Amino acid sequence: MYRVSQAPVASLGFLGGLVAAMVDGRRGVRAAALFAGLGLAPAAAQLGGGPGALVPVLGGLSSVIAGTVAMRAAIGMRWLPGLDPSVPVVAPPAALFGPRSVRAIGAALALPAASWVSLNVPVGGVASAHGAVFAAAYVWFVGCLRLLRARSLEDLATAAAVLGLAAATSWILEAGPGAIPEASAAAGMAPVAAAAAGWLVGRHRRPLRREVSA
Amino acid sequence: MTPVVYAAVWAATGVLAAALLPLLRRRRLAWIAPAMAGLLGLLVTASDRWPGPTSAGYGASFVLGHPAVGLLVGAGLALAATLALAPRLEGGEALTTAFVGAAGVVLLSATVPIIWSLAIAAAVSALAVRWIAAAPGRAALATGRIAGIGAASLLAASAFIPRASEAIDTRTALAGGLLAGGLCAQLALVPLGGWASAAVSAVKAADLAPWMLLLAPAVLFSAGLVLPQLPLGARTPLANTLLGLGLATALFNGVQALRDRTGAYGRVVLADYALAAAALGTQHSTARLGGYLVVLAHLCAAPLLLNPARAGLERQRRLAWLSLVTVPPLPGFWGRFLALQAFAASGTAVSVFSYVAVAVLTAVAVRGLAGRGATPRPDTPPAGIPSRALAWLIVVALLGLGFAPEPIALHVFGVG
Repeated sequence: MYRVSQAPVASLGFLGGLVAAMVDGRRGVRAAALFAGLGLAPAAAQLGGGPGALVPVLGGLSSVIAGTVAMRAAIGMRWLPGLDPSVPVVAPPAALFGPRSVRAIGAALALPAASWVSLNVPVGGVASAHGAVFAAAYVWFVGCLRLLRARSLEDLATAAAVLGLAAATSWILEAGPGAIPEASAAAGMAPVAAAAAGWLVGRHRRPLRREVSA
Repeated sequence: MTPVVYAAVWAATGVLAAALLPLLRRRRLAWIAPAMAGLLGLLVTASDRWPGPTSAGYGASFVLGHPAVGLLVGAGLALAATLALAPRLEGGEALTTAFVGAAGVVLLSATVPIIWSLAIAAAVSALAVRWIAAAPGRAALATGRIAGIGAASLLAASAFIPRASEAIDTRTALAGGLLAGGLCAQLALVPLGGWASAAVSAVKAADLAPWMLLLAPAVLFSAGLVLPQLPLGARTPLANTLLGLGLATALFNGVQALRDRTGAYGRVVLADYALAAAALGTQHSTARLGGYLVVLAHLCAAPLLLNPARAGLERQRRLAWLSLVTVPPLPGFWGRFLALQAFAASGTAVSVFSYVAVAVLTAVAVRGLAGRGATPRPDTPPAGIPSRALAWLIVVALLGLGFAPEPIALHVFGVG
């Protein structure tokens, strides 16, 4: 285990999770995966060392690359537009607090929940990495929050990406440096989700561009 | 053939079918993909010992046991028959089926919990995308939300399972609780099963089939494998949850099947799977074989009953309903009988509820046998001669299963 102060590890995890909870829009999946990955890297480094830290970071970065490449490919190809991932599946009723406000409240409530997990549930062989456990638990709660409040396919893809990175980090915390292959598989959910969302977004951006140029 | 290669075969057949068949204007031939993938399962090396997802603490390897291979082959053929008997296909069904099949192979062969839960999450994601595309609405969105939360619970549980202890400490209780929540969401047990009940009405049979004939049975099989391997502190809450909520779900869906005539069969499947899950919760030795037989009966009956009624298939559908009556020697009897044996071993209170649930399911089957609610819609095309012949073949398979359940179960699942 690499001995560092737990406060910055927990803080970075919190910041990454907070961004993942709040981002929206056509770049939302990529941004959520990138910030969640960067926020979880110090936590993964606690027990996984340098290779462990690379798992969430590369998961986030590859999400940005895979999402962008898939979107560009979809824009360039002659496919008919199908499902638009950013359009809500069910129109939400008008409410005082919109979806982002509800997510902000949920992200605040996730703080004590993640703190409870970090203080009461030992993960891995070393039980003193409370900050790392907090970071992984907080990002997991954020992923569940995105799922629960999902209105569109893009929200679901964001949740899948965030949950994959949280699962990868928690597995590294549990199993240590020997768990990199399985953790990489879990982190692989992020680029796959980003690529799927990017592809679907790209299919819808192409006709818009043509209309503008016409 | 190794399990990883077999998973790739499932994915490749679906991608090829989705890419080539629309170009050749042969969307109706989408059934070839799951049929080929299922039959290629016969080439997979089945291990005598099926370790399951909690057998190894860390270090992923893939081992398919005989019951898993039997399920994958049977599900492949059942999915193919469901697609072949569907009145209409859009072309995307083969791709979803293939992705769920590939995830199913990984799910059934995983030896570490994180790979197992990851495969479930991947399968749920594929289903959610397809259902939202095919039938946008609350039911499809709820699949992504609730089944997704279930998969997230299993992902979280995977970090706590390897070192769960015999004593009931926080970590072990959390592992048991997360596993229970995740499995309940995946098996559509109340109160987390509303998404599946809604999907039964909203989603077409060809899209519903990958969950009903492959993912749910695979989760059920792996739950039967996981349960005895867990330490007492995690096993007890999981078993009690499956037993209580499984029985409640079986009763609820049985009653709903009596009320809902168009989606009655989907409700019967939900009830039967819940009954099998509840039987696993008794931890009695006959429960797992009962679950296998319940799944096998539905793999045979679903291609006929999950699809909407069509002219030319009335008699075959009635015989399929007959097969689900809980009377020997019909295939619907044997699985439920073994489940009832497990409940009887658990005590009187439990067995009373299970008898009521089985009686209600029998009443639904008798009503289906009478042909009520089976009038084809005017826009549904009549079945051609190949579809009728396939339907008769399915009826013969069902009757065969009823008369020889033990040799067939021994051949398919390696357990008799």
